[in-house]
Amino acid sequence: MKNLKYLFLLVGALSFASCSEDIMDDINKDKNNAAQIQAKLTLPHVIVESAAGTTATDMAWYSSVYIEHNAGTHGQFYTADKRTNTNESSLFNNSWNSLYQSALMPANDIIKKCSPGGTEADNTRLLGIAQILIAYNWAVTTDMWGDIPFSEALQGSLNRQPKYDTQETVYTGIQKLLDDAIVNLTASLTSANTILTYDYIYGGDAAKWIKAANSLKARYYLRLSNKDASAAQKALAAAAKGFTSAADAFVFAKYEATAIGENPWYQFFVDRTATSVGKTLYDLMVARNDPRVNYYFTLKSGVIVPAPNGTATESQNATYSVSKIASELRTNPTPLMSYHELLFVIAEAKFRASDATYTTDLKNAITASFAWHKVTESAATYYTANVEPKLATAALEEILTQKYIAGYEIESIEAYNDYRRTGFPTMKNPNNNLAAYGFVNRFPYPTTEESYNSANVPSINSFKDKVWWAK
Amino acid sequence: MKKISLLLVFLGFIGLQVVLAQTRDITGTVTSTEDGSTVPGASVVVKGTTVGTVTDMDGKFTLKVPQGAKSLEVSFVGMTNTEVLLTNAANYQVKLEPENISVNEVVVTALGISKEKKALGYATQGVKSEELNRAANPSLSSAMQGKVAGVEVRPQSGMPGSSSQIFIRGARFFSGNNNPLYVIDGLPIASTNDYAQGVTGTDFSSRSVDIDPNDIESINVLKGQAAAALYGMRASNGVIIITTKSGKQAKGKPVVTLTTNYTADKISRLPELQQNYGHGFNGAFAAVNSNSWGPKLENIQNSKTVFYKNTTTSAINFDGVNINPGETLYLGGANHGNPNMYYSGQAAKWLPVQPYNNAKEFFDVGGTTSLNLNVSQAGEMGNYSVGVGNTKQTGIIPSTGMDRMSFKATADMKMNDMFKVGFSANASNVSIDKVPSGNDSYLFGVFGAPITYNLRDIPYHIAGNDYVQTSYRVGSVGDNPYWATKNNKFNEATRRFFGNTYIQFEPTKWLSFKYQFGGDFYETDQEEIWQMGLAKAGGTIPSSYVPPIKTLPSGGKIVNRAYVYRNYNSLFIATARGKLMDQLNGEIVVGNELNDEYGRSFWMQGTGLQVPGWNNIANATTQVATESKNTDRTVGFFANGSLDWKGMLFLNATGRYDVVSSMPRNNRGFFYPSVSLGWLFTELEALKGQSTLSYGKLRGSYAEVGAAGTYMNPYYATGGSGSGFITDGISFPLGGVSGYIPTTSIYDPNLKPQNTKSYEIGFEARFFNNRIGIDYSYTKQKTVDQIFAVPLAGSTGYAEEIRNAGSMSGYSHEFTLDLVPVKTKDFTWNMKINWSKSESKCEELAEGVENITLVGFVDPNIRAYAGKTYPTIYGTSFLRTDKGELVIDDDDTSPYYGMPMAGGTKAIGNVTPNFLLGVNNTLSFKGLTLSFLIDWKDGGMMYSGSNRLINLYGTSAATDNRSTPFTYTGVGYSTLESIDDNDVAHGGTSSTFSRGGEGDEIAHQYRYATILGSISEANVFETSFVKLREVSLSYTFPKSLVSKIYLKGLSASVSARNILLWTSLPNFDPESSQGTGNGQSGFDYMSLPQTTSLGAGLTVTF
Repeated sequence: MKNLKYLFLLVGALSFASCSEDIMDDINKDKNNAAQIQAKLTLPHVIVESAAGTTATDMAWYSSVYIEHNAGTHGQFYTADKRTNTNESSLFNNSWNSLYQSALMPANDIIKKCSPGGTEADNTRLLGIAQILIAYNWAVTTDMWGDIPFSEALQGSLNRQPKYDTQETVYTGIQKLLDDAIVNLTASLTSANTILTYDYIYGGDAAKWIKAANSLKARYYLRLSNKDASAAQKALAAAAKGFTSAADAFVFAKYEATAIGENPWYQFFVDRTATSVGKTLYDLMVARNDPRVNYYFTLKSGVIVPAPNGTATESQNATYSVSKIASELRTNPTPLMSYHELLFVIAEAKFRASDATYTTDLKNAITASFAWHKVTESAATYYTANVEPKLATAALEEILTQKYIAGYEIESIEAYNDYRRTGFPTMKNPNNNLAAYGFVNRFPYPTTEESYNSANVPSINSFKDKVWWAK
Repeated sequence: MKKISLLLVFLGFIGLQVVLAQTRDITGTVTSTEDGSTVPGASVVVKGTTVGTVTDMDGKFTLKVPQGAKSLEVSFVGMTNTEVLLTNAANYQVKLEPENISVNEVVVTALGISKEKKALGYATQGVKSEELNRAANPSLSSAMQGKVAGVEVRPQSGMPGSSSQIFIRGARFFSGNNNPLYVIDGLPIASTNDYAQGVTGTDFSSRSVDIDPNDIESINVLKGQAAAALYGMRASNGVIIITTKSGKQAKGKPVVTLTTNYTADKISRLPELQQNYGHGFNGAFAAVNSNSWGPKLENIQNSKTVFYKNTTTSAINFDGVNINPGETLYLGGANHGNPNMYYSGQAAKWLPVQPYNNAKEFFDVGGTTSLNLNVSQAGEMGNYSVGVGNTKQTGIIPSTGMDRMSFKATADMKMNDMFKVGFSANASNVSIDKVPSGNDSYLFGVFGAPITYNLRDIPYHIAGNDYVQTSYRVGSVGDNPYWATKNNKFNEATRRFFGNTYIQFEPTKWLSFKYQFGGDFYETDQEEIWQMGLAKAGGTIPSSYVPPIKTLPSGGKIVNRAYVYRNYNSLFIATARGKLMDQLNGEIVVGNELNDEYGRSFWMQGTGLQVPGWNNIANATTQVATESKNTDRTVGFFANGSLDWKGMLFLNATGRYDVVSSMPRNNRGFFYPSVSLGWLFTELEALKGQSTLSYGKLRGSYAEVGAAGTYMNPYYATGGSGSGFITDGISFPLGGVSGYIPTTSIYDPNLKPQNTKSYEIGFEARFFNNRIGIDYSYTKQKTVDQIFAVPLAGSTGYAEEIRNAGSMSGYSHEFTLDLVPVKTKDFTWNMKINWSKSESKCEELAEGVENITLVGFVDPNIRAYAGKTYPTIYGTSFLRTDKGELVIDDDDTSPYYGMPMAGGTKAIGNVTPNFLLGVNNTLSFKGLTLSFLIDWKDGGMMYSGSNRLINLYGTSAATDNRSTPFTYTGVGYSTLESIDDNDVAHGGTSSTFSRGGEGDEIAHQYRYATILGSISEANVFETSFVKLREVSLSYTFPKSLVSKIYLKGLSASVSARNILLWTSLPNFDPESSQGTGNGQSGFDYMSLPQTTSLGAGLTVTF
């Protein structure tokens, strides 16, 4: 009986000791993740997400179908071609969330750490880089959806229902971010480059980042050509400080030939076989006797068989030719902005500014595109025989058509933006003319916004309502 | 006996000593008090010894009893044990009371506290071994189906080792664990899955699969929170208390029981497939396509579809037909002198045009063999039971199966009048071979295979290269199921030990102390081989068969997982009981429990395989690994006080204080009370001793139980990029650099436990000497401050915030009826009817949050939806007017003219059934017993992705009759006045639209493949069913007969399980669904099938 009392006391004492706050804290300590890290360790992710996630996945794939670079011949891309499942909030839910959570949020985390008051306030080089990357992602977001949460976004539980800012406000913000980035990078030109390998794109080279910022500024100024009378002049001024060669281009080229490192376009081709060559693009190229057809498309029984946009058979890759770029180039780089794109921007801006030298820039742009695709045929010959004759009557259309052809298919997002802004080249999908459907003028707002920010999310119809700069 | 003694010594057990001195002979007869009939087979044992015998066919016995023996113990199943004092007499007349529905039944309640069932103020319901095992179901959870009112078992499939979700009285938590706690011989054990399955990969078995139902003596289900309150925070969902065989009944000599069973299993339901339209699309024949939207069979042989154009300079021979340079090979044989044939590139042969039922041919007849050996014995000093069991299953899908070895040992021993010790130990080794389901299901290629494609006989790989598949379709999806079952491997192997030991000290009659220490240890290793060439894992099915491809396939993936789990449980209980005053007895229990858990999981994936068939991670060019560690501790202090007034009023109150590690600092300790009252009103003088109303009780209880959440500080995780359309995406490290991102989850540092409050009222009555028994309970519960990942709008930069919000309420009616409609000397008919209706309603989630996703695709999926029953199916709806009419596309230039249109994403179905009814019948005639259980589920809905797909592919019988028009009535789109923000249309005029007549056959394809295939609501079906869940016929051979062959008992049985009688779901078994956990039974996507089993068994006792 006596011994039992001790046993009882012992068990009781042990039990109380076994659940003290300190012991419990230790038991509940996170053993799987880091609590704090240096800002530069986040940079590789932001770059990969901006290139692969933002520029080379769902948004690009759907854009390539909407813009008729490709025709959807299987699964969701087949229905995208048919327009039957295009206005649903679930369609781009993942893309939207990836942009905010996986691109904008970590970029903002770097910006916070490297801004005054942050833990690495003197790291202006990293700050500038992060500002360029965040500006790039903001632009894709607003281009696809129009009005978006911008000024009140990225605040977590401090603001669970951020308001939507107008696209105009977002564009002003993007130009400011790029201006700030240029200032911060200029300040860091003389400081030590500790970023090096963490920067997949320029190895921490601030001068090149400044050129990228200016090139993007040119792109975004020109985007407002329907809204800002001086858009072309502003674009040209910025472009003058942009890329001076293809070596400067804003391109992610670190894909690896492994299952978990391949260009997403290649993975998409292998995993889904959902798209085939769009007849709209193919016809434009054939009409111009464009030698790039042999670099762009695979053969089917010895010939290129394009899929008619909107009426193709659900066939995976059994019936039609597919993209040679996606299916054969496992580690093909992803341009966030290519050199040829800048040249097309200059050509269009000059044309709009009535500067006749735009033809030189157009020719250079086509030459740069040929170089990107390692085309052995002469770009100059092609230009003279097939492009120049068209400029007399339909210069703007031809500039944009050439940009459209050059953009196949990895720059389909820009092609989609350009078409919505200019209406060039003409789309052929017959479903664009159906009363209940139509051309996809913008992406539907995602489920998470419809469900959890319903008070603020605008009500739009993807088929009927254009984004602000497209009006 | 000698061998068994050795075994006992080996087990460290002190063998029972039997010292026999002088003896004398006695005789006797055992009869039943009810009708005076004799009782054959009753056990007669001299108390305190192993000396005993059984009565013969006439209820008579003779026995040599030792001098000095004081009494006999006489027992028989279904009758009350009786002790007979020995006098000098040589002949004894023993009368046994029947206990067909026992009033004084003792049940095991929370923390192993035994109580008389009549003293309980809350509902519990038991399942006995013979009831559980009569149809030889190797799965514990599905063996309980229909046997306990208020317990809903939602199995995932009928595959070996398949998991189940169990809801007791509905669900309480939006996204948390709604599974009950399993307690085996006093030890809480892990019973849920280590990993959750979503819409891809394989199912992960629930850890209750480690238990062999044959080892179980009885199950008692504590349904409500008041019953379970003493278990504290883990017991919000009720408790399944399992008692394994203890040997207590095996008085006398050791009883050796050998049970064997064999069952043959087949698919419970095959879809109805059309037999008239062939391979192809848009009405054109194609030899390589995923669809059956081709021409009518008789038109195929004339097909002018080009297969091959000879651009070479010499003739090429296709299975006896030469194609000259410049000539074209058309698929249809009529163009090549092969009428009624077509050229198959996959087979490299001319094949006849005929329909095949690929689904029927694919499934095997599976089989289950089980063997269980048990040795039990009880004597004055104690009792023991040791057992070994083996269950071997082969599934109905080739390559699947299960092999389970289990061992158990239990013993209790009285050391002296004050000390008692005992242990319970269980070990198991379970290996399960599985196949994936959902997006990765092989069944796409089975149910979707074109009618004209001979899936079974056309080779599944190209000649000379085993790893390059051939299939009816090409590309990166649609693996040939024969190739996949042959080459892939999904194995899950678990080795487990759990058990506990205790010492009990009872210094005086009114005071006792018990200390119990237990542990649960297991390791699971899982191997997934996604073979090279598997289209699903980065390979492709080639589209060209001319000439044969000799190159190696691409892709392939190896995933290895390991999970190591350890749990210690320490339990101390002190009990004091006694008379407080006249007619008032009391009992108080105080104690402490410590539960300490550790888990660690490893995951490694290798992709980019180099050598086909080399199933080792070294074969992978890219390897990624992760690890995760988790520790958790709960310390509880509890007390339980009960009062018993006159054996009529029973009051019980409990309180428990739990401290949990997983909550934030200074917010870890919580107290929960419960109280219950039972009034046995038939103990009132006026009602006592009546035979009409022989027993009556009213009961009521109230309880509060909390459940903890998991708090974490903000952290950074490894980044990466991907898309829902691609398997791998980009992973770090890339180029020798890794990238990290802030977590997208926020944890609220002020997290508090989610609290369930419940009350229960109930009524029990028995009539006509217990021939009729009823038991009814009504419960209401509400769980507030739910801890869940409250989703955030993407624009906040976060995905979710783990905090307290929202509430879910539920109610449950349970009604049990026990009936003995017929009872004569030789024939008895027992009926037990369990009816229940449980409904959980998600009252509110969080401000601005109307619903959250539990499982599924982006569209459709299963959600918790504020204001609706839990869970709810959510997805794209039909566009409807405010009057509920469909909106029809009336644009006559549109290919979709005359067809419904898609509206917004909405709640489109309710998973909860209206009621469940289980009717158990046992009819016994002498040694012959017929049992059957009819299980009826009424209502409840499911998104049937399988039905969507067989319609979309054009293989279902619904897609037959393509020249017959179909009509839709609804409002023409162009006549609408407006469509509001909630996707509700207004105005418009209604008309009837017709499509799909002669010449418009393609309309059926547009309808099913394009329109209905993209509207989730079109694929939501009610899943009511009536199943003959179990039927068994067993015969127990007479003792007199079996004793001649030196046996104590022999019985043989034949049984059948899961015979589907009727269901409202088209084509598939409604008990086959996708995902693990709360969404189960609401979402199917080529989920694995259920089985129907037929079997026979033999039980030998010696």
